[in-house]
Amino acid sequence: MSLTRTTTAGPPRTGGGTTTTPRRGRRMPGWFWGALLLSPAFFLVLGVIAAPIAYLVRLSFTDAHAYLPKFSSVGFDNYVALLRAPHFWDSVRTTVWYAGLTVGLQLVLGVLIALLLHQRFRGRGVVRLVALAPYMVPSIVVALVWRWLLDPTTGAYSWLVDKVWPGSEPPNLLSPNLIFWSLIAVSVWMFTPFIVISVLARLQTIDPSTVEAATVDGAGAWRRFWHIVLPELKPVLYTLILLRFMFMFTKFDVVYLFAGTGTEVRTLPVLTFQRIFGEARLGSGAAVAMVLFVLLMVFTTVYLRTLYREREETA
Amino acid sequence: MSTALHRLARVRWYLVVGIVALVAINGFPFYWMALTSVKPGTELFSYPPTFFTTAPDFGGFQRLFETTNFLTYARNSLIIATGATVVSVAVSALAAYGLTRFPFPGSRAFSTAILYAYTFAPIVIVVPLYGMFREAGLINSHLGMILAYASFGVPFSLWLLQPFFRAIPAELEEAAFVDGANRVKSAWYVVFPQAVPGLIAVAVFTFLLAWEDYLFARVLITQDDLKTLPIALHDLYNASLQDWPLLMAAAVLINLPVLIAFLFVQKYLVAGWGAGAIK
Repeated sequence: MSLTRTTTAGPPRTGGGTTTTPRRGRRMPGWFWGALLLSPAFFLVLGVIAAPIAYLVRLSFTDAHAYLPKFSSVGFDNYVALLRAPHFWDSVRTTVWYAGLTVGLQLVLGVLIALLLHQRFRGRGVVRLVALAPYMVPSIVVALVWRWLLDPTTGAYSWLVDKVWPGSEPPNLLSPNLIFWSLIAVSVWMFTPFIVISVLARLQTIDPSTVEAATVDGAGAWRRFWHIVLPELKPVLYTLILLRFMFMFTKFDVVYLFAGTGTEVRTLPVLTFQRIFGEARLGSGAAVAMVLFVLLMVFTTVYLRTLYREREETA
Repeated sequence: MSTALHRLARVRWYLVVGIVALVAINGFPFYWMALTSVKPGTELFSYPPTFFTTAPDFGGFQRLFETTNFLTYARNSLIIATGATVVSVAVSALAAYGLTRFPFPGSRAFSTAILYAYTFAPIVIVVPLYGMFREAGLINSHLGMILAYASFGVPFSLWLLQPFFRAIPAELEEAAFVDGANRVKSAWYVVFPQAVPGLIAVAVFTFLLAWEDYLFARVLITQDDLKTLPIALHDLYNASLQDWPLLMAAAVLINLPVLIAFLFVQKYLVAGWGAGAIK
């Protein structure tokens, strides 16, 4: 427990952990104040996050429609229809590929960039700012700017391709057969800074003397990274894999805004949105959201179990 | 000459190449966005493209303000983001103070549970939230949007704030009590000022969350005069004729508060993320 008075060298207190109330005539016990102060946060999160989950379960068993006030129960019909639809399984595959590829690339690039920004050089502050910039920008802006940049008619992209491979015909990166890969690139561009920040923060806490000692012992840059830096980063990276996979698995805005709703990029979040917003089928959309939710929970549980088991074995 | 050569030889080239590539790839889209917003029509689709313009044309900005309700959308975004920030910061600061000063049985389980709420993805929440808001009459309302964003901000804010409050020594408060302050006064004048860096980080986080969100605004707002900037910009893009200087002018303006916030609190933000995000 995180009692706040661990540093106080005052007289020993009696009565367990709830004695933090001041002595001067306070009649209310500490837990009362604690609960009182917590209650706004509790009800807000309960009302807008927890209650909707319960409502979602209920909706997913109904034929609710966005424009009709009444709905009735349809049992498992939404789920049966969903699991029978081939496009649903395409969506699951697309989502797994999208999340897996973007997380993998983000991690590799994020660690590399963090190592780069950890070096000492002139103007490092400015470079760090530029390195983090994509993460701060609204997804709608990222989507529009990249659609504009990659548009075959704007020139910038065709010009670059022509400079690198003179005389070649630049492929249309926004066409259905390439949009998935462009989406991967744009997503990695946008979300890698989060990995950079997290890894950079951890790198700064590594004792430089251990790295220096290894250098003196003749370890090259690669061995220093592999045997000293990487083991230190491992816990952060494991956490990041989990958090980022969940994040990318449920990512909606940049997918929809940059790539639209074509079958190549129709991830489960996009499918959910299409059902509730495009087709106004709340019940059916709720079923997709439920599947998404359950898949995520299963993944999280399995991942954490494996991680804990591995830690127990190595410990 | 030989010292210059020596110095040149010591430059780590992979470092230089890496930094140049990073700055180019991350920076160019922003430059291109700003450039497009002031490019005259004759240069917009010229080939080879111009990477600099000597005759900036602010027609895009002019059309944005004259032909669209940009100011209304900006006002909506500002009201909603500010409201969500105030609610979220107040609520999570109280909760963080309560959790660290008055631990009660189950308070730790509580803070873990509230963190799990963060893992419920917006796309999952938005479906039932639409149904619930419809029944409660909160569709197309600033209040509904403020509550939605505030509660999405709270779990992360609470998580981030706790270390800040824990680091404030209890002696400070006791000294205030000795001086005759009551609990509320000591909290307001002694405890909360100490947590200002954390509060700023949380405020920026929540403000940007609300300012940048597309999904909730898209689903929970259907009235044009209540639209926030991201959905308004998307609708402008989906209009039959794409006016790129106008779109990029809007993009530049949406980014302005983000940029200001970023420059202003960069230090806190990186420190806060580092401390709070990954332990």
